[in-house]
Amino acid sequence: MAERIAPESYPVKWFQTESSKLMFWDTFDGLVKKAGFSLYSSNRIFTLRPRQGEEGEWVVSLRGEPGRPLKATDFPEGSFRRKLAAIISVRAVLASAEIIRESSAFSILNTDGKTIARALWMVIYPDGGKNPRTAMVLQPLRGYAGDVQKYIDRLPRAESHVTVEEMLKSLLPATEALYQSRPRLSFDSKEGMAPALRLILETQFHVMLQNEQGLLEDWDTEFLHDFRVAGRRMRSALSLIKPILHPGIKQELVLALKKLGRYTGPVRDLDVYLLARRDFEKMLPGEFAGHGFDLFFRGLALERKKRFRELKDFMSSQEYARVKETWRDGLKSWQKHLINNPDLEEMAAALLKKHFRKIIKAGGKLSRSSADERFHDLRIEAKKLRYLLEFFSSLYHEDIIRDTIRRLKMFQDNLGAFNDYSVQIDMLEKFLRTAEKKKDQEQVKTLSALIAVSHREKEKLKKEYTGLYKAFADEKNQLLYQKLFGGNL
Amino acid sequence: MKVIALYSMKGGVGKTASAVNISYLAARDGRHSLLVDLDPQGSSSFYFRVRPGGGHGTKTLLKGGKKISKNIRETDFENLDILPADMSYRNLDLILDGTEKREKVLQKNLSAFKKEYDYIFLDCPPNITLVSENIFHAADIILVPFIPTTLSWLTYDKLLAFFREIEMKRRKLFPFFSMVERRKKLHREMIEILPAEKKRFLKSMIPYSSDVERMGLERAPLPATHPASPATRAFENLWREVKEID
Repeated sequence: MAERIAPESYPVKWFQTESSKLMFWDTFDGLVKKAGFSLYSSNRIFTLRPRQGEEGEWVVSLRGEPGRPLKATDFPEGSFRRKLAAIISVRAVLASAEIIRESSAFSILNTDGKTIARALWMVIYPDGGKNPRTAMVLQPLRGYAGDVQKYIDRLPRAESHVTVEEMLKSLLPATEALYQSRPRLSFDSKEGMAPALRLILETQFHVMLQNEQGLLEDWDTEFLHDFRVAGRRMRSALSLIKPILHPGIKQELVLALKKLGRYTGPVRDLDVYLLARRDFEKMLPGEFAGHGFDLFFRGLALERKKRFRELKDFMSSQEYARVKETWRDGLKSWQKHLINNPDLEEMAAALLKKHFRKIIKAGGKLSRSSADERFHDLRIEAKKLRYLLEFFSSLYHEDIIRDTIRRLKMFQDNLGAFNDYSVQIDMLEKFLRTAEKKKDQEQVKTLSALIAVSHREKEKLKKEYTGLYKAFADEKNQLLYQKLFGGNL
Repeated sequence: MKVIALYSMKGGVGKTASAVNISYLAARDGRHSLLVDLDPQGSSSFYFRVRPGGGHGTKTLLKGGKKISKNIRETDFENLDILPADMSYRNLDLILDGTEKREKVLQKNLSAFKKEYDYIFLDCPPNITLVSENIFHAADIILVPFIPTTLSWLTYDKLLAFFREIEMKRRKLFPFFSMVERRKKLHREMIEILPAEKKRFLKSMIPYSSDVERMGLERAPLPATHPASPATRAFENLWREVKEID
């Protein structure tokens, strides 16, 4: 232990000394931090705490492999788990580097021998052994804050933190800037659209790679989700923002992404299912949510395992290495493939205008009796507009963009949910046919019930559509878009 | 929140030792406790090595609330705070005399701490004055240390008479034998007769003990420094009995 130094003339009384190991935990995208909480563990005891000045502390003990990523469902049922689930949802928390802390508790006394503060002397090894740092934690007793301040004033100058967790966190090796799945891009308007498109693609390619490790290790389902979404954004950017690149290279880039989608798609579909298990359970009458239901989901989990293995194999193959190589090369030799470089702001405005008008037109024709396919087409149109708004958000006033995206999202949520049910019904019907062939009565019962509730929910969404469309196409929203592209619609 | 006063018209009967030790025991039970040292001599404060801060005195206690709060000191023991004595308490009577509802000022001011503490213990000065009347109003339980002698009996009867006079509920009063010396015949006789006559006598008795006298030297509650002492056990029994009182 390092030498204990305390200002002279204040007697102290030493108590026990102990050594502990500490880890901080957060999701890949920093949800715990964003929610204003700290999550740390020491000796398998996990503590979840809100920021300084807010009430509450949740503690739980958990056995298991130290340092393994953890989801809320890995913790025992109770208030800790509920609180954590509310913060991180389906994401897993990952461990920081281990901090070794040796601490000695002592009291600082005044001349009457009265304790004026309880204190903790700590020697901290933020990197597991090298470079020890020392720190002192002081807790003045009620009525003695003034005396303790005098004591602090006599200590050697140092950084001070309000909470112990904050101090310990400050000692962790600097991490990269917090992960964002949709980083805000800053363009140089004078440079034109070509470099802007390159920046969009480059950024999303980086997001994809950032999610690679978490996906392969299967820490949580969101790594794969973000990985896929980044890929979709890249494809959309290539197909929507044109003509900029030579068709030859464009085709090469899109095909590479398509290949990837063949492996990631089935796993994601199964993830969506498995994540919705609880919702299904709630929707089904009790007699259908029994053994057959259980069996069905167990089957899905097995299928997911198989598909995930295939995806993993693909990602360790030469083929995947080539996909990445194609993209790296394409971005590197960018200039070589350019055939056009239109004005950035003009083109962005024109694109937004075109796709907004498309939605207004197509959306207005839909009613409860329209075919499902028309709703799917509209969903894809809405997604295109959403991507465009996100790509070019930095060109516009923050408030207007936020408002437009919020309104579009409301509209999209309805179309998205509609599509989810349609996909689900297709999948369930496939399972139903197999169960019927096998004469598995219990499965047939569960699947039929699931199909029935999915149909019911889908129809409900169709019914709600008209109201949502009206809100989206109303004058207020049209005016908002007019502000984005200027002039008339 | 329960307010428990340690009171006797006589001095030197073990009020302060009892107040210090049972407030410590309450805190040791995990209950948030505040010891209010109302005795101008400040013996309780001395036992906890606490000196009053500047400006704390009669006026503070009368103003109540935040003003009192500022003068509360955390003792070295978890869950136990103290409002230290100040010599200006000597004048408390004079000042109370000029206030409205003068016998209920303390009660009102302590009620501000309802949420903060489970128990408030009052270490009282040895006299019957307006301050005492305030204490009688504020307290839910009044513990009266009683040395088994004739003189103590006489004083206790005077207290009962005073309670009748001011129409105060006598069922708040709980005497207990203090500084008991078993080798003394008189003590033994009194212990035999009195509880039959005075129904509210507590069963616990505090023996005369040199360990209690040493508290002044060690400046800490007895159970903290001498956990195995017979006097410690006696205080533990007393606290067990007191916390059961409704």
